[in-house]
Amino acid sequence: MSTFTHTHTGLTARLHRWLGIAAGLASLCLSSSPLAETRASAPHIDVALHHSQDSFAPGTSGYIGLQFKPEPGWHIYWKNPGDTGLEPRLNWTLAEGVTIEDIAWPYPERIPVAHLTNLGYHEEVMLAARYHIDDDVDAQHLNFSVQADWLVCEESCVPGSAQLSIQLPRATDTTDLSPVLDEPFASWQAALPQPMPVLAAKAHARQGQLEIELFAQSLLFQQAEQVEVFLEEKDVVTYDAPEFIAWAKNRLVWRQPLSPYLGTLPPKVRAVIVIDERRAYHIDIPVTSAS
Amino acid sequence: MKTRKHNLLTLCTSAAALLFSLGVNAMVKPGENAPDFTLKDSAGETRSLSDFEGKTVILEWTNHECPFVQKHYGSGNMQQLQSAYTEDEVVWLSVISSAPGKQGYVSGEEADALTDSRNAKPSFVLLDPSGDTGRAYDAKTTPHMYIIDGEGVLQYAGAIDSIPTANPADIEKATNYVNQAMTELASTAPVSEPLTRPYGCSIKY
Repeated sequence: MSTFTHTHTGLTARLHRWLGIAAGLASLCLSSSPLAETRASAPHIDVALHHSQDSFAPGTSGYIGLQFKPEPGWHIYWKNPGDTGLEPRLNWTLAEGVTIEDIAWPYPERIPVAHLTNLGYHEEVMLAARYHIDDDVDAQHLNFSVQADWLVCEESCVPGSAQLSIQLPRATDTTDLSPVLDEPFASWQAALPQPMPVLAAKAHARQGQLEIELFAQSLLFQQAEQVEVFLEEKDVVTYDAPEFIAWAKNRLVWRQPLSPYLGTLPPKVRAVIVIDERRAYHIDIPVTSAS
Repeated sequence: MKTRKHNLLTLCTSAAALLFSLGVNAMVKPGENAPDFTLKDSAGETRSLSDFEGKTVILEWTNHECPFVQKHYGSGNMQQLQSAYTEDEVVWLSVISSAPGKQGYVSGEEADALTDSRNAKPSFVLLDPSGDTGRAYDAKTTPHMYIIDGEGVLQYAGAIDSIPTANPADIEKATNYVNQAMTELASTAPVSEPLTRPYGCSIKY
């Protein structure tokens, strides 16, 4: 009996000592870790959850995003996937006192596959959003979780999903919070369409086509070698049919057949205009139809 | 206006306009007569749409390797639809338009083996390796569903249901467009959603 007690006490003491060492090591690891992230590997794609800060402070904002890296030759989809395909969906689970904005989508590329045209991403892409932390949050740690579902395709498609999370500690000093966006958020931000200031923009549906004509405030199209137009709204136009596009100085004209799956014309569309596959703009355009 | 691209695309647009006016690649829409076709079934017998005049025919484009098809077969959803309708005198035709060597292409024997192993209940499995029938219907995805009434008029074309994912858990939450259209047809009501955007893997023509 006494032997047992002696061993038990000894074990407890040793356990406490090891726990102390472990905790010390852990806190060392946490404070020296780079931007907090978790990763998953899935068929034909790797995903990683990124956070723009190492810690949080009440009353502040940060960015959280899921980075997708498809295998070479494979792609995922834009918010409007095009003729077929399925856009990735992110469902966030956040601690109380944390709210998140909608994801901001980098501009897509056109992806022809056999007899169809889809819109998406071949390269690494991050889908990220800004979040806000209430003033009165007093937790010492905040958990950020995401359930991600996607479709990754080459000619055939593989659906995938992952559940990832990051826990952020409370900042001991608010100067810990970096005001500058590092990678991968810097690249993400650079790939977001910017608002296009226009003198006039209109969209008109006539004879089975949607035509957009706009006059930008500056000579945006003057040096452009290539201009592409994509609508954020699904099923307004079809992308697998030839388009008409012409541009000069500050003027752009674009025509595309209406989608057979279009119900009623929306009152406006949000067009994403990509110039030389390098910079992108967005513009909300009211839609009228031939009477 | 920048002329280089403009001229090339004007040419493309004109050529396309000519093709459209010739009816090539024109999508058959609900309300129109469904195109007749003649295909070999999995047993090697010849079947035509006109063989089934007077009966309602459901066309189901399929590819057993597609995750969206697997969603509906793995869950038993497709088999349940096939049983229910074939018991009700509806002709259910599963159509495979995958080209030889491409995903989903099967021989007649392989198609029958799949039907057995999945306990599927189509009236016939039709093999369309040239893709001619798929293209005649502008079939885009697997699955892609069509309902043709007894008079040969297309009444529904599009998705099997309203939630375009590969997740079987979404089946019970979705509106099944085949059931919806068939119920409306049975009560001689107009089909409320005759044309929906199909979802699935692209057909491997």
